[in-house]
Amino acid sequence: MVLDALIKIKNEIDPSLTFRRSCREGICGSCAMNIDGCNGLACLTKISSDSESTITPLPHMFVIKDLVVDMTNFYNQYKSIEPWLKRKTPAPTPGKEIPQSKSDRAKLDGMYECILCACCSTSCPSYWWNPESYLGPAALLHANRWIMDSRDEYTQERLDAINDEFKLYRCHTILNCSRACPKGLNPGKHIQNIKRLELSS
Amino acid sequence: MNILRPLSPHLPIYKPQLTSTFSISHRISGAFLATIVFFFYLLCLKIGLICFTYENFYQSFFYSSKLILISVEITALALSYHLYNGVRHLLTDFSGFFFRKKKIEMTVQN
Repeated sequence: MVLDALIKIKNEIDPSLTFRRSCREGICGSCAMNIDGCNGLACLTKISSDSESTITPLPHMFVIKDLVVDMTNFYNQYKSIEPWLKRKTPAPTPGKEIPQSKSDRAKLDGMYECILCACCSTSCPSYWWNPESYLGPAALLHANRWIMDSRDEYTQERLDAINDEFKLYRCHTILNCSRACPKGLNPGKHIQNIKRLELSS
Repeated sequence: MNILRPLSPHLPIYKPQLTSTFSISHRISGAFLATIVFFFYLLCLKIGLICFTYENFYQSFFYSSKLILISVEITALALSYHLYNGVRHLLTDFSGFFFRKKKIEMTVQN
């Protein structure tokens, strides 16, 4: 995989090459970068059979060094959607977990697997042109994850919080995000779900 | 001291995807159609009486440079693309309203 090539280059050719990496198995999301024009995880992208491969950092992000980019804004946007369970009433049986049916749990499939690698957000041209005001596909996917969670009781407040011209509606269904996701998730579909819920709320 | 932070490359290096190409072509064809409509509104309705009776203009527009022919061809292309993509958009964007039980996955694989 491309990560192995980067490590070999760092070991044998240029030790100053800087990149983030951790799990080497596509679950931590550290090694997200742009390989041959497409965003992906270096540890999951096969080295192409062409003689050359162009590797650049995640597009339209402030570069700290080589392939390391400043993720502060991305993480702040994730924090801004309040990605934790919020309830108004106490749990039905205090001290025990809040029960959730299998069908309700199935609604979270396709959203909880997100590893926050930022491949989707940095592939979105709309996020390129409005990085500070538009939340981006990753944060919106997580917003939907909490909106769709049957145990969370602040659904309407969550919907109202992102019902903004910029936070949600900079999405023009370009769908580059779903194309870029290395985990095979579909942020575009979930953003569409939020828009549908906004319409009927 | 005001140093601009370096930004990683975006448009120049990102490989054009099917999804993003559709989207930007929809926008460009829409803008093109809007200008064509506006241009022809100005031309035909506003200064048509003067232009189309003026021999040289009429000649170059319809006969020698074949401006009208080329612009009609390109407009037809833009219109058909914009129309089909618009219908596709409506179907995919509003499929959540029509098909609640069986959600239609949007086609994103290249």
